[in-house]
Amino acid sequence: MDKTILQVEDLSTSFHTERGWLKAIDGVSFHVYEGEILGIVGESGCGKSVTSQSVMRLYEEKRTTRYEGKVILSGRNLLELPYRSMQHIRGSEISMIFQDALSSLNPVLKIGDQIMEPLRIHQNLKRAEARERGVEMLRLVGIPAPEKRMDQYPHELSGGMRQRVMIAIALACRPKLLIADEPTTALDVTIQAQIMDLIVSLNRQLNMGVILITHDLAVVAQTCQRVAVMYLGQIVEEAGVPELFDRPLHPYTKGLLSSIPRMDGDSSQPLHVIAGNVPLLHQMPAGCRFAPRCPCATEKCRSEMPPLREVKGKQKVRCWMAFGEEEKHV
Amino acid sequence: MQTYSLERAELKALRRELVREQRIVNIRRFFRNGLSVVGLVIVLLMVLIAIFAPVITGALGVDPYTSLGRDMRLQPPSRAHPFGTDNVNRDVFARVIYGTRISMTVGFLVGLLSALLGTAIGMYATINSVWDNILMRICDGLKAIPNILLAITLMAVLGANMQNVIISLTIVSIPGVARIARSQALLVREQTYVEAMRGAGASRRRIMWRHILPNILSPIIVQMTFTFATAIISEASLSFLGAGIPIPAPSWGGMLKEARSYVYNGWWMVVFPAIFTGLSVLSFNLFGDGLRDLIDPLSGR
Repeated sequence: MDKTILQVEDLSTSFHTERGWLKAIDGVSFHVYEGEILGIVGESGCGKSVTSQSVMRLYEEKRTTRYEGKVILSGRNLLELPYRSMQHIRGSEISMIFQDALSSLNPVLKIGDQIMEPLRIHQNLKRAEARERGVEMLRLVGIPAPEKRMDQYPHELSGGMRQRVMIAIALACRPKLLIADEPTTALDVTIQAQIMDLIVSLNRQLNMGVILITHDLAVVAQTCQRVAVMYLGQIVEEAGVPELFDRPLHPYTKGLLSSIPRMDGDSSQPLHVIAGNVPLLHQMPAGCRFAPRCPCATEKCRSEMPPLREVKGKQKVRCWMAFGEEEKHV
Repeated sequence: MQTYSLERAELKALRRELVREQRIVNIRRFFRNGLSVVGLVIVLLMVLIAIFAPVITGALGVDPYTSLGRDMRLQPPSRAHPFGTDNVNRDVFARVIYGTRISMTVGFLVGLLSALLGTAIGMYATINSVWDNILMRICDGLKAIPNILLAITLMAVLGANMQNVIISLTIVSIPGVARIARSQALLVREQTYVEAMRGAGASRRRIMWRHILPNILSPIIVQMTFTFATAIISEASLSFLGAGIPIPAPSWGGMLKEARSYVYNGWWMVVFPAIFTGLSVLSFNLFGDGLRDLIDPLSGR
C-alpha cells in the first residue's frame, strides 16, 4: 500500500498563446501509491485535465507546450524520455480514460480491432492471441456476450457499454496507473454508479493506482482514499478523504463542501455559492490565487503566495489562515 | 453479471434483420433520386461496352483501324455501318465503341491515381505546419493554372501518348483531392478517439493510416467519381487539340478533331463521338451526386 508508483514534483505546463506563455498548471506535486485511488477535484478550468494529460505528455511538445518539473514513474522521469519511449509507456504502463465516452471510440473500426490495438502495439501479439485477450478484457469489464461485441461497431453499443469498452482498452496491457478523466460525465446517473463501481473493483482486483479526476465530491467520498483539491492550476489542499471531509482547512475546500446540496437541507434556502468567478490565466492574482474570492482574505493573502505546507499530520494546505490556526493550536 | 432474457440465436436474427433493413433504406434512398439511377445505369453500360468492345464490333464484322476501301468514304449510317464511315474509310461505330475503352481507362486510372496520391499528400500535410505549408502551397500553385493549360504544357514536355495523358491529368487532379483529404483529416484528427489512441501508445503513423484514413474515405470516393468525369472530358479536349492520344487510336476527342472538317458532308462523324462523350461525363456526374447525397444527406438540399 505504501509503494509509490507515480511521483509528480513541481509540474508546470505552459501553453504558447497570443498573449505569450500561459501557465495552465503551476508547481503541482502529488504522488500515487500502488493500489490507491487518488481523487483530483476542482471546478472547470482549474487544471485537472491539464495535469492528467501532462502526466501522459499528451500535449504536442515543441513550440506550443512547455513542461517543467518531474513526473517520475518507476524511477524514470517521463518528461525527459525520448518521444518513442514515451509512446511505449502510454497505454502499457499508464492508461487513460477520457471524459467523452461517446466519441472516444473510432466509429469506423470494430470494437475488437480497437481493443486489440494496444495489445498489438505494446505486446506484439498475433491477431488470434490479441483477440482472445480482447474477449477476456471485455468479460472483465462486465460486457455480456463479449465474442459478439468484438465484431460490432461503436454505434451499436450504448454509452455505458462504450465506456466499459474504453476501460477494457485502457486496461488491456495491465497498466500500473490508470488516469480516469471525468469518466462518467457523459453518462446518465445510474450508469455513472455502475462505471464507478467497476473502476473501484478493478482497482482492487488488479492492484493498480488510479487517478480519478472529477468535480463531484460525492464520487470522491465514495471511492477515493486521498484527494487533492485544485484551484487555478495549483493544488490548494491535499488530504485523506475522511480528514478532508471532516476538517477542510482551505477556504476554497470549505466553499466546495458547503456548495453540495443536502438531502436533509432546507429547500427554501438558496444553495451556497462561492462568490466571484475563476480569473483568466493572464489575470492571475499576485498573492494567494483564491484571495479575490476568499471570505477571510487579509493583506498578506493578497500580496504573498502561501506555500503548500503540511499541517496536522498528512494534511497539506496552501493558506496563510490555516497556517495561523495551526500555530495557535500548537 | 446479468444475462439477457433473449436467446443468443434470437438476438443474432434480430441484429441481422436490422442490418438488412438499414441496407435496404440506404439503397432506397439512392434509388429515390431518379437521376442518379440513370447515371448509374449509363455508367455500368459504358463499363460493359469498354470491356466487351471486341465482342460488340466483332458481331458486326467491323474494326476501328482497317480501311474499308475507297468507295466506303464518308458513307452515312446504314445497317452495315450504324454510325456511318469516316473520311479515311473506317467504320465510325467501331471507333466510337473502342473509344469507350480509352475514355474509361483514362478516367479510371486518373481517378484512382489522383485519389491515392492526393490522399497521401493531404494526409502528410496534416503532420505539421511546415509540411502543410510546403505541400499545400504547391497544390495552390498547381490550382492557379487552368487545368487544361497545365495539362497541355505537361503533354508538350512529356510527349503525346496515352500513358502521358494519364500522368498529366493525374497531376492536374491531385490538388483537388489533396485539399479534401487534408480538410477531412484535420477534422478527424481533433476527435477524442484519435487522442484516445495516442493515449494508448499508438505512433503517429499508425494513427494516421489506421485510424484517420478510414474516416475520410467516403468524400474521397465521391471526389473520385467527379475526377473520373473530368478526366474523360479533359482527355477528349487534349486529343481534340492534338496534344492527347495520337491518331490513329480511336479516342473520342481525336475523332472530333478529324470530324471538324466534315461537319457539312459527314455529320455522323461529329454527332456520335460527341453523344458518347457527353453522355459518359453526364452519367458520372449524376452518379457522383447520388453517392454524395447518400453519404451526406444534408448537402445540396
